[in-house]
Amino acid sequence: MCHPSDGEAWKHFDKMYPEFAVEPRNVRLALCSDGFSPFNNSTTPYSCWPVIVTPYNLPPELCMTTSFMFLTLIIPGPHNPKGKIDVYLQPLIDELKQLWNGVLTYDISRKQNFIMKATLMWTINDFPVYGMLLGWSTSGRLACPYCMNQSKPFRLKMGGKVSWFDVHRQFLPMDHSFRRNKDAFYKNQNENSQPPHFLTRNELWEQICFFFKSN
Amino acid sequence: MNYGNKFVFFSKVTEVNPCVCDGHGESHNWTKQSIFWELPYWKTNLVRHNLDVMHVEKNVFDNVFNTVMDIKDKTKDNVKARMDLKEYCKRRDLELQVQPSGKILKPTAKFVLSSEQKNIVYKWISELQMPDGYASNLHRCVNLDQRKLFGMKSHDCHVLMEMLLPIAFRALPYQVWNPIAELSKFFKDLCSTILRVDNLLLMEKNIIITTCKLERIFPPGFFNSMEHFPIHLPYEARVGGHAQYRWMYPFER
Repeated sequence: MCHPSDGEAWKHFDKMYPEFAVEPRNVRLALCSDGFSPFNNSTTPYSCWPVIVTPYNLPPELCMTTSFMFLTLIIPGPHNPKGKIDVYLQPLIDELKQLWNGVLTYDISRKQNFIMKATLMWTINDFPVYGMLLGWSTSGRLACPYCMNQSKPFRLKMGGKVSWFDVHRQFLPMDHSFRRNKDAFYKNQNENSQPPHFLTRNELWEQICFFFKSN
Repeated sequence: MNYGNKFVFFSKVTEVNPCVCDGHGESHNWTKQSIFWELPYWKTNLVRHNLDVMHVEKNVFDNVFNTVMDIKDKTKDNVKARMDLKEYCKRRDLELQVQPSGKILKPTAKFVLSSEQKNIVYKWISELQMPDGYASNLHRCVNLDQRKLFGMKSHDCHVLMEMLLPIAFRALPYQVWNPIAELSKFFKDLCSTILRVDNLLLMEKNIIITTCKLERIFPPGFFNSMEHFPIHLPYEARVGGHAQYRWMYPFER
């Protein structure tokens, strides 16, 4: 594997939307957002949030280079947009929907017009932003967006922090000797539970469709 | 769509607290339905959001390094962690001891380097010669008097984590050094330019064992969510492709 197109996600997408996959000129995008402070003084905290979109239809050495990063919108500060990031993203999403249906584009190499479509493959973000974009708050006891409510971190009595101690034994095969070890991990405790089941997209949608949109 | 009068179209950003629904923090952590679900194809995507390998790696490195070097106020192996230890684990040798004079003694853990060993490591880092443009001048990041690393960019953490950590911590006992070296190798493999699906499947199994080994050594306070995410990283690499195309280095520069 040396390009995202070798990955399972890309191939799965092609399978789901063959009419999209037949046209090699259709663009696949990734979205990245991060906060930075434009003025280099820490006395007045001000952070603005650029949202950058980058295409993947490029040879590996050109992917993710500066010339192929498109700044689509800047979310003004001075604060973290938190859950309201959706409101700012609205124009971008509208445009993406439009691009999914196809827009007329000029192909310079063939000197003709064609209908170009574009899709957003995934978002790239650090962990606090992950929570904002996904809508699953990534803090506290249920911070892991993969395990969701099936992991079992606990809050430490003295430290007051959430500890992920001894949550990894449940990922081991059922006959692994670590699972029966009562001394080295959480004291006097065997681990008998199955590895957490990652939600499929339909289950995920069932959970999420009851929640409000933030706008 | 007419964007000429977009001020009419889009609602104003108002200060509304995110709705906290029933069971938030207990059975689920949802705060809202993300706007991305409006995209017609979003439901069928396999990876919707990426865990950023760069941040996970940096945070894991910080935790491991600060704890092993026992940097004051930064180490995760502090007094409170030791107090918790009594609650959750069977590790007599690390529990706090009250001495007859009333003072509390914090026994030295076997995963902490001794003072001389620390000096040697810092001196070694400060004298390292790197290829041009490979990492920032690490000599400037080391403070030999206070025995600290400072001003490290996340790329320096990347280099230290992947290349130098197993060498630097060679002085640790084998059962401590081994999982740390495995962790370092794990990140190195994950960030390599050519990935193989069968290797990734193997890594997915191995990282679990590595994390379990770490759990046997470090106290519960050491494990925050960042120590957990390496578990999911090989899966994401298998589905999404290279870490290089899914991390934030290019955007941060």
